[in-house]
Formats: sequence, structure tokens, C-alpha cells
Amino acid sequence: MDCRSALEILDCTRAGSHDLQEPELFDAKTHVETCAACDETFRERQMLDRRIGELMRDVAVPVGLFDRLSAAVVPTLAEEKLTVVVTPAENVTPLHRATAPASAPTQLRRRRMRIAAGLAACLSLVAAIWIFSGKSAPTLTVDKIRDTVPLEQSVVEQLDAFDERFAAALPGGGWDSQELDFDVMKGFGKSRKGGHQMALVLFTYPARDKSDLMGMLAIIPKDAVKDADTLGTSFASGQGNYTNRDSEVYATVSWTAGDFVYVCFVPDTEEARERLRQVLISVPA
Amino acid sequence: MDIGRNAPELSDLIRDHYALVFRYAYRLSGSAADAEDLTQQTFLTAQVKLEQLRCADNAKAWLCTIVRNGYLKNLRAGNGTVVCSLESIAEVADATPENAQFDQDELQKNLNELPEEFRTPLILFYFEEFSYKEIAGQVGVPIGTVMSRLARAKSHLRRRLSARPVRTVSAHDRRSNQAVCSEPERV
Repeated sequence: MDCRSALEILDCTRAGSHDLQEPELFDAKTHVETCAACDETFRERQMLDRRIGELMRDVAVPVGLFDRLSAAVVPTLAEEKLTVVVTPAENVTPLHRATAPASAPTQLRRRRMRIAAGLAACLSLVAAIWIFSGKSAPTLTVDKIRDTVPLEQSVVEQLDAFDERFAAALPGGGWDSQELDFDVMKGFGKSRKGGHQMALVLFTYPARDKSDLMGMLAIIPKDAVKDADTLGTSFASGQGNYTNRDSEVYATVSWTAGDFVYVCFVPDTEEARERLRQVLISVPA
Repeated sequence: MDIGRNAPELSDLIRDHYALVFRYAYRLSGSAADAEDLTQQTFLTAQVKLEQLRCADNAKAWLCTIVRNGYLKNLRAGNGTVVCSLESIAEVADATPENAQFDQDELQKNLNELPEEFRTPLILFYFEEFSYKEIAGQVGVPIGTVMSRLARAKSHLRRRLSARPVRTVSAHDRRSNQAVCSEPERV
């Protein structure tokens, strides 16, 4: 083996280690031990290796790196209060850190920020879809209104006053006639956004030669009623139906006007219907 | 950390090896900020792939492999340091302990000039944590290749850290009574 090859092979050995005992290095080791020049060069190189190695390993670990790692990589570690042996080098902040302050966002922080931003965007999208779907897909129907609103006078009177979540207004077309007497508006049902779902108002109208008749008007926002578009646009053209409740039959008329759906309930008697019709059509809309 | 334990906890890995990981990352990247990012990235990867580490004895090598992979990944992403070929570096005489005067900045500067395949085994070698056989396992190349790369990289470093003026190979070869201790083949 020549000097060059021997020294090249021995370049892979660490000074002071047992690397020289490796069998494949035997020939190179033997050569160096028997060649004065190589022996000297090898010793010089090992001395230089020691100096380079010391310098190579002398990297100051940033102060607080362990804590930052523990907090960032495994958040639970921060609570374990692990005992850390701080090497002298840790007390020195390398000059390189001067150009990279500790508060600079790290990859982890940036990653977390991206994840948080993504989650926020997803949540916003879900919320938007929920709100949008809430507006565009109402589940309330005229039939449901007819079947669920209370029709007993005493029950209606005990309901809470309407919370005016929406600006419930009486319809036109004679409903502002002096012959109709309206009670206080009551609120009924719970809307998705909170508050009353509809306003209920009892009214009385005169009956010829008999006691006054009583009816009830339900006022619901049009966008909350799924089949609002199938209704007529006035009392006269409204959808008539009957509702049977506790052996009492009520005639109902449902129609839309403006932003609302109106459902009128009156006793299912010929007289009541006729009288109401006369009252309503006596004054043009 | 129990050396013989088969399933090391991540907290143990961080506590026992974070300084080595940072130092290795620093020498690879040449930047403390990048090194800290790389250190965090390394332990994040370790956290995800912890089940791959079946023996705590291999933790050091395993973590160093993750560091290097992360560094190479960043390098491919365009965040790396520009290195030059050893061919383009002017040849200087081999240094001796007496005439070699250098500091941290000079060392790192010369490390940064080395191509990664030479820089990595050199760093691992000088960290004195791994034998050349272990380094070969880490970088995934034959032992002979690691020995060759180590010799060439060390030769480059010795020459670059020397304060001597530039000399040529032929001049080096003409040195009297030097028993053919010429430079190994340059990279």
C-alpha cells in the first residue's frame, strides 16, 4: 500500500477512537506505523481533526430551545417540567440568532397558522351554508301552521306578547275596517334565529242580531313558509280549507301579501264566513 | 432515557437529543434560524413516525437521518444554500496544525461550499458520534464510498482552512522527502 492510499483510508478514523482496530484498516495502519513521513502526517492530521472537531461541535444551542420544542412538538410536555441539563453552550446565543429573533415564526408556527386559517375558513363556510340553507329551505308549511297554532281563545290570550322580531302588519283589503276589533298580538313558536316564529292576533267582528264572532289571524314571514308561493295574494283569492280541532271545525283562508303569509281562522259556520266576507270586501283593498 | 427500552417516548428523544439535532441542523444549513426550524421539523416528523423507532439505541442515528431528509427536502424546495463544486475551488496546500488558523465563520463558510453528499459525512465524522460504518448506514451508501468522500472532504477542508498561499498538485508532489503524501483525488 502506498502512502497516499494509506492516509486516505485512515482519514475515516476518528482520533482517539477504536476505529483503527477495524480489520479493513489493518494494512493502512501497518503502513503508517512503518513510514515515518506518513506517521508524522497522520499525527498532524489527527491533531487538526481534533481542532476542527472541537470547533464543529461548538454550536451554541439557542436559549429556551428545549422549552420551545416541548411546547410546540408535544404540548403536554410543558406540563411535565422535565429536568434539563443545560450545557454551557446554551448560555450563549449565537450571533446568527441576531438575524433571526426568537419571536420569528417558525415552520411549526406557520404550519399551525395555516391549519388554523384553514379551519376558520371551513367553519365560516359551514356557517354560511347553514345560514343560507336556513333561509332558502324553510320547513314550515301552511298545513303545519293550521295544525299547530292554538285556537282556543283562553290559550291564545295566555301566550306571551309578540316579541316583534319581525314587523308584523295587518293585511290590507278591509282588515283595517272599523268593524273589526283586534286584540293584542301574541307570539307563537320559536324561529331558527330565536324569537317568535309567528304573530297571532284575535279579532272580533259583529254578527247580525247575535253575539259577536271571533276569529284569529296568524302572521308569518313569507320566507319562513315553504309553500308560500302556492297561495293566493289576497283573502278573496286565498286558499280555503278546514281545520278540525277538539270537535270544533274552523274555516281557514291562507294567502300572501307583501312579506307575509296570513292564515285566517274563523268558526266554520255559514254566518261567520259570510259575515267576515262582507266585512272584508266592504272596504276595497 | 433508558437505553435498553424498546419504545422511547418523544419527550425522552427531545430531552436527550435536541442539542445534537440542532447542532447537526446548524452545520447542515449554516443558519441558526433554519436550524431551529429544522429541529422542530425533525421532532414533528419523529412524533408522527415514532412507531418506526423500535429500539432506543438507534434513536440518535434515526433522528439524524430525519434531520438530513428534512434538510434535503428544504433544499429541493429552494430554501437551501448554494454550494459550489470542489472542482471550482482553487487548490491550496494541505494544512498543518501549526499554520491552520480558522474560526467558526470560516469553518461554516467552507462547510457550506461542500456539496451535501460530502458535507453530511464530514459533519457526522467530526461530531464523533458515528463511525464511518454508521455514517455509511445513515446516508445509505457503501462504506467505501463514505471513506472516499470523507477523505476528499477532509482534504478540501484542510486546504481551505490553511493560511498558506495557493499551490498546485504538481508543486505539492515535488515536495522533497515527503513520502508521496500527495492529495487524494479531488472531488
